[in-house]
Amino acid sequence: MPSPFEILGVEARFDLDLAALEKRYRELSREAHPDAKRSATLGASIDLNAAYRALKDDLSRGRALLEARGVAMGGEERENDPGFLMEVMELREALGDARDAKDLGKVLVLATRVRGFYDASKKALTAAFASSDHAIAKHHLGRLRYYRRFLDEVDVIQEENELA
Amino acid sequence: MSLLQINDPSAGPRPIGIDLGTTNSLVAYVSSLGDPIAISDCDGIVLVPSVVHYRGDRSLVVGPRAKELAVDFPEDTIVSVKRFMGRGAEDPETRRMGPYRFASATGPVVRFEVAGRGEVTPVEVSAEILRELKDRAEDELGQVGGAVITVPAYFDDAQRQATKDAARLAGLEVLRLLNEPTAAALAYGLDKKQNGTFVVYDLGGGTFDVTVLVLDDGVFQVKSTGGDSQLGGDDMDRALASKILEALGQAAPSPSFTRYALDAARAIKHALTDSETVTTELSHEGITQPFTITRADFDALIAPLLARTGAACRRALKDADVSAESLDGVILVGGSTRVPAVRAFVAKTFGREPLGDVDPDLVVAMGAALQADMLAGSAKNDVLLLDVLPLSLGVEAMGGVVERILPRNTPIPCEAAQVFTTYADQQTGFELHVVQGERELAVDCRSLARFTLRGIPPMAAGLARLEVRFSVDADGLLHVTAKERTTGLEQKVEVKPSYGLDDATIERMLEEAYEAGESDIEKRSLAEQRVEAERVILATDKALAEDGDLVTEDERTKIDRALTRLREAHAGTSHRILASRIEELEHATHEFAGRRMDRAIRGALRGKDLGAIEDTTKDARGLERAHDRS
Ligand SMILES: Nc1ncnc2c1ncn2[C@@H]1O[C@H](COP(=O)(O)OP(=O)(O)OP(=O)(O)O)[C@@H](O)[C@H]1O
Ligand SMILES: [Mg+2]
Repeated sequence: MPSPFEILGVEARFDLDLAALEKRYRELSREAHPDAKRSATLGASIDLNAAYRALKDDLSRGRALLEARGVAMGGEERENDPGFLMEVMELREALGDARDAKDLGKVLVLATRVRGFYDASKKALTAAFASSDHAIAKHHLGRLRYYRRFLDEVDVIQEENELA
Repeated sequence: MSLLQINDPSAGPRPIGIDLGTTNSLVAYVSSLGDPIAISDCDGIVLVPSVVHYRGDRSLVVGPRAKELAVDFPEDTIVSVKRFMGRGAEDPETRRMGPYRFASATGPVVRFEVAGRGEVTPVEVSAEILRELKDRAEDELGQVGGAVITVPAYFDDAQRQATKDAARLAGLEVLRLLNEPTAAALAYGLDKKQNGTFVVYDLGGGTFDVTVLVLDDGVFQVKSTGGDSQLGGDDMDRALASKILEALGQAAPSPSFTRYALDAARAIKHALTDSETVTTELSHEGITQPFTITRADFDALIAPLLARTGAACRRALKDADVSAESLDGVILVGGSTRVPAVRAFVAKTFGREPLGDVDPDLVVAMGAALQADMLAGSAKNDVLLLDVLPLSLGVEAMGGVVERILPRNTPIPCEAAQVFTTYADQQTGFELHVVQGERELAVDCRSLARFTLRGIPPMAAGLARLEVRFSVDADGLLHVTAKERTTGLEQKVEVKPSYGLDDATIERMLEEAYEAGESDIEKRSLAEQRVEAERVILATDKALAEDGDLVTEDERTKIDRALTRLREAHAGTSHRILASRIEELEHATHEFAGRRMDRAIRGALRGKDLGAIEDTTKDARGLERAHDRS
């Protein structure tokens, strides 16, 4: 099975130009989608869609890149650094409290902080991939996953709040 | 339909596009020049009210006539059936304001109790609307080929499946279920030939969709979609109808009062689109009450509904990773976007005025016709639509939480596999519960199917490897297959049983419909003529009572005779005799109708109350309209 990078015909790197990726996806769809080309198979279209989805997102793109470079992931990435875990736990607790207290201002402050952490980890991840430092890349992928979950919860709270 | 339409019989069946709306439906096709054309009836009217009226003699009436009958037969006239598509008997919609008799309080499918049929399902009701549209298309085009039928982008699997079932029941070959906002963008984009990132905000009679998409040289890529398949003009009507019922002192309204209040609410809502204040007299079954409402009052009533659309818009932008500032245009679709408060809300939400050059009523059907034309292979346009899954798909895991398999806004077609394992020694069966929705707990999501994989070879707990594959096709419909990986045992599972009609039921209904065949058509035209007769008799009686002084004695004798003869024919069973007697009466009242119209207009000029004039001219026109056709 070709890697998502191969399917989309783009260089296997973390810092892809996402706008260019999207354009490329549309071009290739003209070849792969059965509506556009009678000879195309549903399978080709499904594979292209899956590859595009994998590369669009930071986390899945990171995983795909590790795989393309032959680095075993060994299940879901985890960050085991106790200091980090403690920090995340405290953040989530604070978020839960703010949610219960319906303190949207507090939620947004926390979200901004975590978004900052996310961006920092993403930067570190990009550097790690550039220098093929895969152990560090794995760490940061793990962190992104935690931050992502946190931010997803923020979205849920925001929607709750909007409709209340 | 024009008489000069020349049908080329060698052209073969023509693909059609159908906008099956909550309030209005319509059908369109692409002309040999490549232009989408909406099909109109003999009065030049394109929109077919999505209303089905059932009669005691098992016959039925669809469209404008059915809509008129709703007030007198509120329980036997199904309006807004789309809100019930793919829904269970306990769905919240069954508890909202409405005049219906529901056949049962539980079960996987809503059933209405109607005259002449016993129970009917939303699929059957929708099939009648589709049949009517198909008939209209056949009248216009001769032979009809496959159909693209539009659905709200936010329709879940059950609702899509129900729509497809209805089409099958109506004898239509479904080329594709197309999302309504995508259809609108297609029609708009092909017309304007513009690239960029657009939002389609579609607020119709019963459903709301918001879609973010990129138009790039003929490729229409949906980036995200959101909405609410039970949010639309109907909910505005209900909010206002509560006030109306209150004013009329109806705490526990009868079906007839409910229907009256909903219709009155809609009329007032429409009037508020053009005026700041509406003053009218509510009157039903002998109770009358003056009623005044300002646009500001109405805006306050619908504010919570608009807030819900706003939340969906922000989420759609976020999911698409697009900012409001970077948009190239906001396309408004659906009749409810005519409400000034809706326009203002959209402008505020996206920080720009929506595009003004889109026909919110026709654009969806036009897009469907274009897509049908392309899928049938006759297209002249080099166009491709790329759409997404509107709601996340998942399975219920331990503790009732949802394990997400395919997240919302995944491009379709798509596929994902998940491996499960047994949790007890020697376990040979494994139960899976497939759900759709964004909530964390399975009970809060839409249950799509529960099925058991059987025949797993007995092993120690955790050894069996059950691979369940979810695929979503280009219609947005889910298919599930399961495989035991250690043995390769494979099972295909149909994701259907927990709702809707199974295949056998559909086959049976199709056969029944086929057998009924000819006699159904006869019955239908008889029913239609009867309704028409009732309408003309009523209009004539009313006109004579109000403006009897305008008829000469000689005229009066003729009118009375025609009335008697029409009443006789109405009791008979020949639709042809009935038709000719209707014509007779219309002939007899022709000049009278003209005089009434003059009087109504003179009244208007004298500055009578606006609503009253509209009513009188409408009545006068009722008689007039009959003449246009004769
Ligand atoms: N001038 C107007 N002012 C206010 N509302 C209007 C006006 N014209 C139409 N509407 C409302 O628009 C709705 C019908 O719109 P439309 O025909 O687009 O819906 P639909 O396509 O049948 O429904 P859906 O797309 O939700 O299935 C009704 O609720 C109707 O009252
Ligand atoms: Mg619509």
